Amino acid sequence: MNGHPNETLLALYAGGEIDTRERPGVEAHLDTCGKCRNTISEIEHVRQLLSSTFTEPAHEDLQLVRDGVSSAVAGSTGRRSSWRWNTAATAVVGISIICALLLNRKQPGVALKQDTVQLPSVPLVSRQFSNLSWSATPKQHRARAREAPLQAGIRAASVVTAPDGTSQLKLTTADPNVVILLSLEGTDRHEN
Amino acid sequence: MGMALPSVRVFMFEPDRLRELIRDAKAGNAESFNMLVRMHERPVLRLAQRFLLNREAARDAAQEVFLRLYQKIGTIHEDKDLGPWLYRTTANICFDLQRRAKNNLPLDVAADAASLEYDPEQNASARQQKECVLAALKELSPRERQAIVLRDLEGYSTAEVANLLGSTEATVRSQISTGRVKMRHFLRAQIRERE
Repeated sequence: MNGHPNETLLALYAGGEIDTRERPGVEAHLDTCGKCRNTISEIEHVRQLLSSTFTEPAHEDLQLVRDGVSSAVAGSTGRRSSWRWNTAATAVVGISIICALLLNRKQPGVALKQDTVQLPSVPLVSRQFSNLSWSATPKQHRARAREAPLQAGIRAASVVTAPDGTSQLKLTTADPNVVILLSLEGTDRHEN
Repeated sequence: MGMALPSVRVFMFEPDRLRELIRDAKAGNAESFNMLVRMHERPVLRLAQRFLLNREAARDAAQEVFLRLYQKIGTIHEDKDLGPWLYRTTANICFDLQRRAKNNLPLDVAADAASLEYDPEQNASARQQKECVLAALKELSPRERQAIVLRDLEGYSTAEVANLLGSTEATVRSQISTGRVKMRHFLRAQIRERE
């Protein structure tokens, strides 16, 4: 080896990482060079100082790490859980809306059917409709039962007089699609 | 060469128990995950403290390591030792932290190290010496410091250090030798200043 080995090579020698091919040359040089031996002993001293400088982590620091991880993991689990709930709730609401729309959708070409039930002629129970008030209009006369107690499900009652003079009692029910018409022919409307 | 061997601390866990814990943690068992944290928290925090030389940053880094473990637990192989994965992750997280802080995190391990080892007989010059060593370590680049810590403090071989740092043996040898030389020069300068 010509001259001194460079310092980085000596640093590797001090730590035992030197290449096996370079080791004999460095060792031969060290036998005769006090300066390089001194460099190596200084590097060894640095390594010793390093080993004695550090201590194990304090219990307090370990506890803080542990607590931090636990709370972060718990928070992460909570967030994940709430995210799942939110997704599920959104899906349920969405499906409900779609179902409602499908059920209420008018089918094309099919008109809503309003059933008119023509009941057989029955005598009018005078007591029930004794206080019918009449209102006259050019086309039809209509009377509304104001005070008579109506049966459950029947919202309003009115007497409708057609232009040909025939009268019918029209009962409007809770279902807007059902109207009951009672023929009043042959009955006495003003029976006391 | 009559120098003291670097302190090597080997943590041995029963392989079956570790496998079982990893399997349970993968299945979502929080208790098993917490147990894994407890098993590895000391070496991870120790490494982070030595890489960063800052207690608070080291705690943050260690927490980040375990949170990353939590996120990646599904990809961890039960039959493999968890240690290397954790130490590699610690090195990477610390490296990122140092880079973000421009390798200029305040040095606060010195005082703590002194207080932890507090001994009434320990004189001021010994404490000063420690602070000097830490300051010398701080002078190194993040990767040089990591290589020195893993090799000279943790006692890993250069091949193991290369594996942990995701590098080659040649690069690690270069980082180690450069780091040692830099530290020697720094300490010599410090001693000259005081004389």
